[in-house]
Amino acid sequence: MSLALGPRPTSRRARSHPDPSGRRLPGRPADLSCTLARVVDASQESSAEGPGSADALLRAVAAGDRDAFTHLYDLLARSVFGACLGVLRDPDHAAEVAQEVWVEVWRTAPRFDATRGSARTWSLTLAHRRAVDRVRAVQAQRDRDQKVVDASAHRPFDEVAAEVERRLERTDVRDCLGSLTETQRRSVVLAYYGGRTYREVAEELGAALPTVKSRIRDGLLRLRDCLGVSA
Amino acid sequence: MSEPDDVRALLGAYALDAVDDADRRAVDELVARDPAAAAELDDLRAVAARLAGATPADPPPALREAVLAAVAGMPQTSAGGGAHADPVPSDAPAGDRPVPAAEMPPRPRSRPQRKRSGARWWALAAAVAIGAAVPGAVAVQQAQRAREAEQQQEALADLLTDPSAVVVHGTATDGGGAATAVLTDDRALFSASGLPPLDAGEVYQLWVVDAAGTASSAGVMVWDDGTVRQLADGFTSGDALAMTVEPAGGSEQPTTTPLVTLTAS
Repeated sequence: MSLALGPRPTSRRARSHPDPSGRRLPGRPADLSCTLARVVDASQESSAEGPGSADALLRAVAAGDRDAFTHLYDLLARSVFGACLGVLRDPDHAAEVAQEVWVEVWRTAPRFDATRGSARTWSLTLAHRRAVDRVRAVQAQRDRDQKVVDASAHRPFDEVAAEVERRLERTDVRDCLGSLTETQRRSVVLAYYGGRTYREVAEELGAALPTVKSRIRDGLLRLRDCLGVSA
Repeated sequence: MSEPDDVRALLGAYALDAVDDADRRAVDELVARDPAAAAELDDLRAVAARLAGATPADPPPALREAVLAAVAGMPQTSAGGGAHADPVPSDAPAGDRPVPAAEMPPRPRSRPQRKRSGARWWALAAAVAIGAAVPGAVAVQQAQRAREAEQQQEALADLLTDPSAVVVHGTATDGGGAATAVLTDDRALFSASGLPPLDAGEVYQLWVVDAAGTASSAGVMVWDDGTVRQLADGFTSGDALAMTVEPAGGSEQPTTTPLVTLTAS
């Protein structure tokens, strides 16, 4: 089955993407498809520096500023909740995990290191990790109990893909996912939105472990280039 | 997972949280010693965050208030960590993380920081705060709950074996309710039950009151079926605990007469 995420019929030009950090791996072909996405991106990222930006707010939170925490919540609440909901699907579970995430954001804000990524990345990394922790805890419990506790464990790929397709909002991410090979896309979608380990992905896709490992990594590097993302 | 290349190949799966604990440790070790791998991981994390951010959804409106109440009075960790410390501390809950000195309002005397029981203590603090679940949230998370309960028991056991621990009881005025606290030389656990529900714009708030009568907030407490609980890291020997009703969000200083006050003597 193919995931219905495809490049939109938009005119595109090749772009050059000089990497100021020099981190680009040698021999990795530049992706030529995402000029439009880059433009969209630039407008979104331009707000990453100002006083009301997530980065500035998180730095203030790290200094104990509760007002900044409230503003940060208002700025990222939809993304954080969406990240939890994507993995957990159940809105009540997602709300519980999102609350844990926000408490952790408050507590551990002093550890935020802007040289390693943006405040948004930091927060969403945390949100996804905690959502996955929850899915796995529920799954482990279910394995012990031999009964269904939560339907979010082990959804088949088709279901994960359909859900992602329904919920994906940002056209650049959607387009760039569409630019991956079938195996890359399936591996990434199943691992990330399905909350699976790569071993589970391999089992489900009937692929060898090393293949899935490298497809996930290659897929992400390709997404990085397509989205023009850098930490 | 001994070959560096094998581990390097896991960076993508790691960024997607698609690894097990053994793999995660292997990647952590690689990233700690290999700046190129660390840089790649940072990039891949940023990509993963874009995937996460691509599916925004409106949280339940009650979440905002629950979150703000949960962090009220909660101390933060210190920066710590190495240059490439994992921004998401390992999958274990708060109990396994390093514990900073409590950061309650400044106190004139310095308190020794507990090392052994500190982590568990904080686990209890986190569990109590997180226990303030979003109204309406269904508690289907037995595994998580069991783990939290276990940590709470351990923390409570630590607390009770503290040679300075004293258990005190009191009765709340106005509508009843019974309060109990475990007081030690440098922290206190407060709980009360049988408390009436408050109006929408009100909350129960806990205070640490020192010998001079100065009150410091120990946080807004979430009412759950008549019960509230709170940890007061800012408590020191000789202080009192007091609970008042305050406007939603809590107050800087008590604005009403305490419903109950507990002291060791």
